[in-house]
Amino acid sequence: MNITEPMFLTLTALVGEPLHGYGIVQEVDRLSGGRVSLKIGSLYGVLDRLAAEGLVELDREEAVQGRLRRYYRLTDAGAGVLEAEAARLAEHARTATARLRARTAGGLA
Amino acid sequence: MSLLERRYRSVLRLLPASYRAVREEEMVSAFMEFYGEVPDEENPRPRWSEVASVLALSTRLRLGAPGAGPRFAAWGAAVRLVAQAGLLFEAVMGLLRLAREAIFLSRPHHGFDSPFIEMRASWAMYMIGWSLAVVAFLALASGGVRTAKVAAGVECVLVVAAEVVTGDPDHLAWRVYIGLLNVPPVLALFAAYHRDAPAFRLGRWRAVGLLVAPTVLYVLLQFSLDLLPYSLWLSTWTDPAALAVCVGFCLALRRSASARLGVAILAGLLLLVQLPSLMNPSGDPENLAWIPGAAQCGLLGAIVLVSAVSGVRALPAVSP
Repeated sequence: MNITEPMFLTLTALVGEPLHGYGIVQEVDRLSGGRVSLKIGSLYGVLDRLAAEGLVELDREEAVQGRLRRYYRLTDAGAGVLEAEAARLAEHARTATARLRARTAGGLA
Repeated sequence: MSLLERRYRSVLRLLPASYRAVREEEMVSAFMEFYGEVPDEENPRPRWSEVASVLALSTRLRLGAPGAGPRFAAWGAAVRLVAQAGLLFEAVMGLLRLAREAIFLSRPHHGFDSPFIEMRASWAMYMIGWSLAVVAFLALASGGVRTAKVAAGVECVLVVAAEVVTGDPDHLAWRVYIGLLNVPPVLALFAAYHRDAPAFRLGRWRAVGLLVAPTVLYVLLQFSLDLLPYSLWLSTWTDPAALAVCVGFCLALRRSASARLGVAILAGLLLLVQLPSLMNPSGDPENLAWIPGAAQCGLLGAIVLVSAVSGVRALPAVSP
């Protein structure tokens, strides 16, 4: 499946511990340095897609000050997909860095 | 309940009821945690970006995204069929028109030497638009949804703009209306081919065959008609859009709910375009030229009705 940046960041946010909707929004914001600000409608679109693929699942429900919180956790399949995607991105980053170094070295020579 | 929460709950009404029943409280909770309690005196409203995200989620859900029931998945398939059939039709028409222009240009003293700059500009817009119509269908049939969206979007803008540029100022609204026939299938393409939509891959040769076969058949039909004396009935009933809808109706009769609903939408669009032509009677009671058009509109109306009713009846039940 095609992993978009919001999906990637949501999966990454859930690596540590189960989070509820607002917790995921905060964590994605922190992980992206404020660059990706998930709107609530977009967040639930992403969660629906990830849940349909079996990459995240419901962990538990809580009521806090009369409001419903549903916590989501990463599944083993989700961890596998995230690991593969991270490796793919790291490979691209390594290639780009190596080419930039070569370009700089060529420019200096 | 605060004013902000009430207003956000109103926005959530855009979502399908079945989805809201499961998600509303959770979404309100996340939203209110994010924005905090704002006094009603400040007249707070959800930001446009939040409203847009709910609207986008609602559109995707209603067109079969994960989280929606099988009924919405069937509607999504119907709208995708409108996009596929609409793009195929425009591609066939594009090929026919490009061939006609090629023949026209091969003749000496062709009319392209127009001294009017707007005529040259609109001719170029049509040529590029028709070519892009072919590209859009072939890209969609090969799984290149992004390419198809770009090509179809540009084609749509060019053809509507060309209609406006060359339009008779007295009948500009009519020409724009005809040009807008291109728009609904392109909107269907953008809406129903969302990230979660199943791919539509015909394979290169099947796609080319699907494009070329009706083009050749239509050319042969036109050659045969040229051998016959002119008849308004024949020319009305061999209109390519009407022929395509009738063929689509016959093919969809015993198929899924989505196929029938897709045909109902396409026939409805064509009916909308044909109807105004009936509203311009000659005033001469002896002139019965309106009868073939009226009969065709009647048939299209019947197709809309039969396809829509049987399609809705065949839809999967609403999720509890």
